[in-house]
Amino acid sequence: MFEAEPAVLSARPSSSAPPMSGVRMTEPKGASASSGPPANKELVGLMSAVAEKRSREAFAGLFEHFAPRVKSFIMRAGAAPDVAEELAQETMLMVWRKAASFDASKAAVSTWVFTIARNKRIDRLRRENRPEIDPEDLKLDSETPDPAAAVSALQNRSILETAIKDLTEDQARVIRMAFYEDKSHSAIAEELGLPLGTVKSRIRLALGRLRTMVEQDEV
Amino acid sequence: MTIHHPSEDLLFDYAAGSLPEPVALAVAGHAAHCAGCQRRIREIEDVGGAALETAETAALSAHALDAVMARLDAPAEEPAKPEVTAETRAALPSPLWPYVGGDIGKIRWKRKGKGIETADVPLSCGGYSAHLLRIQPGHSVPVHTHRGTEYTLVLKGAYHDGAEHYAAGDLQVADASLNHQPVADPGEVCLCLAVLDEPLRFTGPVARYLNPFIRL
Repeated sequence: MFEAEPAVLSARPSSSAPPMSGVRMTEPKGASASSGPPANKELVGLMSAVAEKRSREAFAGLFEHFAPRVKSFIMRAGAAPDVAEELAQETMLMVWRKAASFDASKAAVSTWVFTIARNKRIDRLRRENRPEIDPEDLKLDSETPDPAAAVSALQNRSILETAIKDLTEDQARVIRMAFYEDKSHSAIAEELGLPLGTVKSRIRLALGRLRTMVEQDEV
Repeated sequence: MTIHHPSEDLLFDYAAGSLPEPVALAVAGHAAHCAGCQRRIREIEDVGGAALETAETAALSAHALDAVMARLDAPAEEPAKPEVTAETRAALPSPLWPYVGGDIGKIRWKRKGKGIETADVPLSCGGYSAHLLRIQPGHSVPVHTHRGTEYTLVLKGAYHDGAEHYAAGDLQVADASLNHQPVADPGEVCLCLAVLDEPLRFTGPVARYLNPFIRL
């Protein structure tokens, strides 16, 4: 699943990939402008200050970084600015309340915030419940060798963020529609007037390409 | 060890958040059993996190931070999760726990034929139906076809549909063209979650009185 297909991918030099249209991939603004975006490490530091010391100062740092991104993320799914603002605030409130359940060994901070914002979006914009796996669930296959098996190969945040900007326009568009616009495979196919199989393979190629870029960089 | 996994696109749509609730329930129910699918979901969520990180921003109002800061010490308004009984934990994957109120013993089963019982799963979205199915050992669900896609997650026990064998954790996705007759393995009751995406004309009060397995 999501196998990389280097032969296809390497045929297209990444330098020629046009920038994503619609969604501008800006450099994230960090606490220290000179060193670029706050690395996951820095965000993890803020998270643990919030979780362990209930630091409001650290929370303000997380708010400053994530709230404007979450608001933008929710607006793209079709919400009015005031609704998006409210959901961004509620997402950050959940960050405060659930900080103790954040596990830096399992997810990057932005992944964790994404899942909270995604669930808020489902809850509010679609008025649906979100079925999730409870951490207390012990149903996992006993064959599972170790908990690390559940860790994603794409955890290396800084490389992944660079890689995502290097997707081809076709790949970037489907990824964008899926994550920002709350569109399923079939909805994307319908909107772009493409066969479902084409959308599936574009998403698969995009994921494969991200994985290849992250893995190459880690070697 | 589960053998029948959700397709890549189902896992992707689950992680991105675009699956309708009952299909998400079936996918999450499978993933609760399957470390491989959990890892793939996490991988897609990581792409979502990176997309969030690299996306443009939308400015919040000047008072937004103060407004949230003022609420930090207020008690959470979220309803407390119901207690989950040990029997429920053992029998059902966690995504289903809230749907049975944390107690599998309180499910109100309705007899739907010899050796078959069903119970509605309450949903917050239309266009779908979801049922729990309890099939006595060796008994079978009547031969059926359906207009939409049927997602069957095995929760306990196992069944054979004439072509393949499905055991706890396996997810079968059957489209309208498949004419199948699941038969529970001998020796153990088979418990399943069955999700059907129905044409809209089958929703509403009338549909509830139809046997979920016979769609004309």
